Amino acid sequence: MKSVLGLVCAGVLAGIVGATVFRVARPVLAQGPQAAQAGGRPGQPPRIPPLASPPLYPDQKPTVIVWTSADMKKVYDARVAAARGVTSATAAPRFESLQTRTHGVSLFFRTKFDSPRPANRSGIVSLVDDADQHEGVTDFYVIAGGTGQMVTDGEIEHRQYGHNPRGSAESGAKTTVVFPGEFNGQPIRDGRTYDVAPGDWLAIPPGVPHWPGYNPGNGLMYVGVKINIGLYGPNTMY
Amino acid sequence: MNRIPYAVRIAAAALGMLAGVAVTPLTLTSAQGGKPTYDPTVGHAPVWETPIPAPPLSQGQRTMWPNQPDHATHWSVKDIRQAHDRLAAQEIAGKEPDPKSVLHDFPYWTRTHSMFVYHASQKRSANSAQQHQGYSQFVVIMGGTGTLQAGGRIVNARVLAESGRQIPGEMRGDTIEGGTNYQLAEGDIVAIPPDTPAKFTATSRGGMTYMVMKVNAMLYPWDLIR
Repeated sequence: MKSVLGLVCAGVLAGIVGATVFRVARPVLAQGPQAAQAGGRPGQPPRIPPLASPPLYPDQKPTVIVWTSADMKKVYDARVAAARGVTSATAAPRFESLQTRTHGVSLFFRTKFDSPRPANRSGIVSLVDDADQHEGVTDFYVIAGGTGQMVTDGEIEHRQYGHNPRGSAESGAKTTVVFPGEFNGQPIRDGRTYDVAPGDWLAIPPGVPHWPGYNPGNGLMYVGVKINIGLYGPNTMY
Repeated sequence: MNRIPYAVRIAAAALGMLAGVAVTPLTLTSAQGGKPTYDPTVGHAPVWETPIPAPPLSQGQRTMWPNQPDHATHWSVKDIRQAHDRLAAQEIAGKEPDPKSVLHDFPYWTRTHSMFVYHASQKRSANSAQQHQGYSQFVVIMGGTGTLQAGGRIVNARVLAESGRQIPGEMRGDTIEGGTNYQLAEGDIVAIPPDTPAKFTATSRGGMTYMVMKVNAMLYPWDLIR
């Protein structure tokens, strides 16, 4: 009888050891010999050793940029003159834009067309540019010249995927390039209308429709900060 | 011993083995594909006690923009000038200017960027030189005039310490050696890249008020950003 108990105890021990070894080894076995060597899973890229000191900000120039209000006034006057067909407008100071992995700073100028024509993105025949909606970008505007009205929130009517009707700048292809996450159209229904003047700010979270060119008066200029919320490629942020 | 049949012996050993397998724990740590052991006392980032509120996490639908407002916000130049006037009046009256709640919807927090109002004093000693490794700055001058000294290096730079704890990536000092001076006035805009020493000083009576948008360099926990 004692020998039977001994056999049972030996069996229990063998069972515990066997089950433990199996459960430890199973994930490694499942990855195969190649994965064990490369350190990754089958069908996935091999594990690349990390950089010794990865930069936090890989593409930011170490230079400070100052845009004075006086310079922006000159730029605004030149843009208004150019819109009226005055040729000397090219002598205006240049606005140095900024483009980094995380955000960009650019200057925008909106005017009302003399006569109805296809809008910049949707092609809807209108007197002004389209409303925008960006899923991957936060916009922050600082009004820098002119007075007018902007519309935010609400819903874009005749909304369609954003595209560049000029085609691909890189390949020169004439076909329309669609930007996923970008929407355009006009007008905006049930939006909020703001009277804007130089010095005003406007923060537009991702996904919120906005129509900066709704009523640009005699020409509306603003500095636009576009912050990539982390999932957009740089060529789809506009 | 010899009287026990072999079949009984084999059955006893098999029964024992089955029992052994049955009592072995199912949740072996090493069987979970390398998932580290959770130990609340090991490997945790320190919890910083900060006056800046942490952005609340949404408990609802997770989107690409988890903690941004669902509507646009407008600040008129009138509101912005009034904010500066209030802070300037506080400084002229000999009080400590309080820029935290001087403008509606400020401070403005999101996952990718945040915005704060700051006030530089006319007293040069009251302003510190700062260097931030974790974010870019987009600065708009709200009122007053002043100077920005940027670039170069902070003399005797030290890591910012709060309540005896160091905040890595945040450097402070009193003066900047080298760099460039920029004269600033209302409406001017400045872009300062990460890791660039900068010091704002007011030249107008009542000081200079400015808004700083901090764009996270994407690899920094917000708890480390000042």
